[in-house]
Amino acid sequence: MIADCAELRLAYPLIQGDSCLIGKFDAMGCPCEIVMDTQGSAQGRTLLEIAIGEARRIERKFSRYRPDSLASRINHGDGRRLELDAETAHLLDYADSCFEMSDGLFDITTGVLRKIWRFDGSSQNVKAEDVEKILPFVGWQKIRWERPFLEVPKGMELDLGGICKEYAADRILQLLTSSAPISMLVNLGGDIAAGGERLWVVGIEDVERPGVVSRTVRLRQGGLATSGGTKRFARVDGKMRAHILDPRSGRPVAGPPRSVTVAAPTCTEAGFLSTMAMLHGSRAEAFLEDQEAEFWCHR
Amino acid sequence: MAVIKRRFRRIKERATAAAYALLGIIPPAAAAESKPWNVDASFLRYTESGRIDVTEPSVSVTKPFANDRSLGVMVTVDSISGSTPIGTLPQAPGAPVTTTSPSGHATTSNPGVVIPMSHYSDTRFGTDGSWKQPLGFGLTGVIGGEVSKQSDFLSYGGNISLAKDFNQKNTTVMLGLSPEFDTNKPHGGVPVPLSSQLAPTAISADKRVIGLLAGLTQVINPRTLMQWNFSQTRENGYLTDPYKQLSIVNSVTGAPVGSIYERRPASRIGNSLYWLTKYSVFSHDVISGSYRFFEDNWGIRSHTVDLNYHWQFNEQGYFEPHFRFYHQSAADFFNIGLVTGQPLPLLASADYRLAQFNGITGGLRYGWTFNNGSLFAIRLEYYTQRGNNHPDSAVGIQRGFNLFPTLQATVFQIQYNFDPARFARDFAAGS
Amino acid sequence: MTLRRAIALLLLIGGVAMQGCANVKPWERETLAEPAMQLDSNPTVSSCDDHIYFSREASKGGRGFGGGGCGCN
Repeated sequence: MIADCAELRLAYPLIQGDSCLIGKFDAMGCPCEIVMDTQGSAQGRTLLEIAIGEARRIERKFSRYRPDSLASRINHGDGRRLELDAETAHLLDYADSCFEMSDGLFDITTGVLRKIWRFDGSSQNVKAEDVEKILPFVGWQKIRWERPFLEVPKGMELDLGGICKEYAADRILQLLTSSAPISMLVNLGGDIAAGGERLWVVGIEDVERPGVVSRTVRLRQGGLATSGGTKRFARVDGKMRAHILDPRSGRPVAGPPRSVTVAAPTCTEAGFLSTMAMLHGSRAEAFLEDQEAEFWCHR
Repeated sequence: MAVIKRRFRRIKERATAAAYALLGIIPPAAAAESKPWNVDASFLRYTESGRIDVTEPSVSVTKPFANDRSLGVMVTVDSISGSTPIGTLPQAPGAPVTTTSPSGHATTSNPGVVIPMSHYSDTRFGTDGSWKQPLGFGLTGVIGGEVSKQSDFLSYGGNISLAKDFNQKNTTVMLGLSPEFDTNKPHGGVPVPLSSQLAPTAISADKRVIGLLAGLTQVINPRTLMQWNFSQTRENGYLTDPYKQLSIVNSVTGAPVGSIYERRPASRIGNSLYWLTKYSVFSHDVISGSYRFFEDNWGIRSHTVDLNYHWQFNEQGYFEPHFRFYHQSAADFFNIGLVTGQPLPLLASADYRLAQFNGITGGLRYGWTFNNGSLFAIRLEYYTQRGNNHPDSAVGIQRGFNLFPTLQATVFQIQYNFDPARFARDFAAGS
Repeated sequence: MTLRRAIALLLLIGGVAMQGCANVKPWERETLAEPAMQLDSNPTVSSCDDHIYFSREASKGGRGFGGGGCGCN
């Protein structure tokens, strides 16, 4: 996603846009940017540093790929009981609400299924018995979570990645807004949180042609999140399947849209709704329509 | 009411609450605070060549409240001055004329060349307010009122309407009712109709109006929208214009020998049908076209075609060329003047607005949206009215005169639309 | 043309237009949500115009109510 006034000169960390400043950085494995309704480069740099700092903090804490992260400690705790800090407890409470609201469809324990489903575009032949072997290790209801204590049974994993990026976008925006009362937009690889009075025009990337904007969306205050895309998919029975896995069957969801972008009051909520839409596969639009959500679907 | 069958359980409100809880945000119960106010300030100047000038500043404010309710208030002041045709016929060249109009102003007419005019000057003050709110079951209600006052005229009006959305908001049906009560207080009193009597019969005369409106709006496809409206206006009471007169001319020479005040029926029922289509072309351009048919029991029938193209030439700016064509037939009792030796008709008016004519408007509007969300627009329009210069009913010297001089008017308007809360914040921030 | 014929004509146009009617979904409403696509995209301009034409022509109503509220010359 590209904010309206972005001039994509990637080498520069702070870019002058059309009556705004754009700060760029990489975090959580994707290109990020903050767009600020200001002309002051000193202020812009301060805000950019705050944003980078917060993004790095959340990344260090919740990335499954960092051996020193809290997420790694949770996932390799071998069933031991862990006492968690308030922030992580909030995230787990949220994950619990999501699980409950979605009747078990939105589940942060499906990560273990990636051992058999490799979403790298390669054709693969996953046997039914392989799925059956993994399924006992899937299911949020099997996790013991009694705030602030968590027990993850051996062999199970929690993946907060599906929540963290949207959470980080909202968090960074909150931090930035508390230090400067200006309109701002935070974009973490397509998960967007905007605050202030300014109306931003956000481009939704064309699924077929990465880097090309297929349509634009106007956003003032609130969040925007996109699920799907061409980058992560598997070939199942000769058909392309997106990286969304149904925790009940252990298999990729059938017939999801190529991408779904949802607007909501917060990026966190937008992310939940777009993921839910993907989980409903061919009925993604029907789901969002019944929620009366503002969304853009691409099939 | 058709109940929309949901295929999925509604979880959006809970999702919003869960995300707020995660982020430690107190749910914005006073969400209205963040919704922008809207102020629309406008300055309009309407200038008729050789006739009336109107200067009209107006301000309209819309304040949204929680749950899609909103309050709108508008205030306007019109300063009107200039000349307006009396309705009487020109004199023979060289015959000087000076008469007095009921408004007490001196009336002069240039002999033989120009139709007689009376000078007019007044200020109108108008205000209206409306409250809009959803009523559940897809219903939206609007209730409003208005007052308009000038030195010789006072009007109170109200309106109430209900709109209902069907079919996932693709169809909207609207019904409305608008009563109005007007009081005419002509300068010098209410003249005796069809007489030349200056002595007034009364100092004021009332009029009651009931407006009915039924509308259907339909989304045709993601780019096309149509609206059909039927409206009926029922007027009762004093519908005559107290300042308009008719000449009595010599049946042979056509020379005016006197004049009498006009008389219109005491009731009028007008029906209009309106069809609007809006069609989006290219990415952000819009073609709007409308047609209106109007018919009343005075024998007037009219057709109006209005075309507008919204050319959004970039993210912020647009041009809107506008064209309008109007044609009306004359009222049954329209009469350019009476002839000596014939009995007086029951009803008669020589008001050019009740004659047959064509009106053509061409205009251009330019608008620009600033980065802070405010909008500036300017427009210029040119309006002409052409009627029958030499009606068959003219006698004698009147045949040689232009009895329907073309009306030429320009409309110039500047408009600025902004959110005052944002304005104040930007100002405080010094940007 | 009489009022009855005008009604018949508009009903016919309406019927034809409705035939081509697609049930537009919320996510297809981006264009319809644009300011220029609103039924009355500029209420200030339309009320000024209605006032001008009301005071210079004999017709009333159409877009909205047919009231006038002024004794314009």
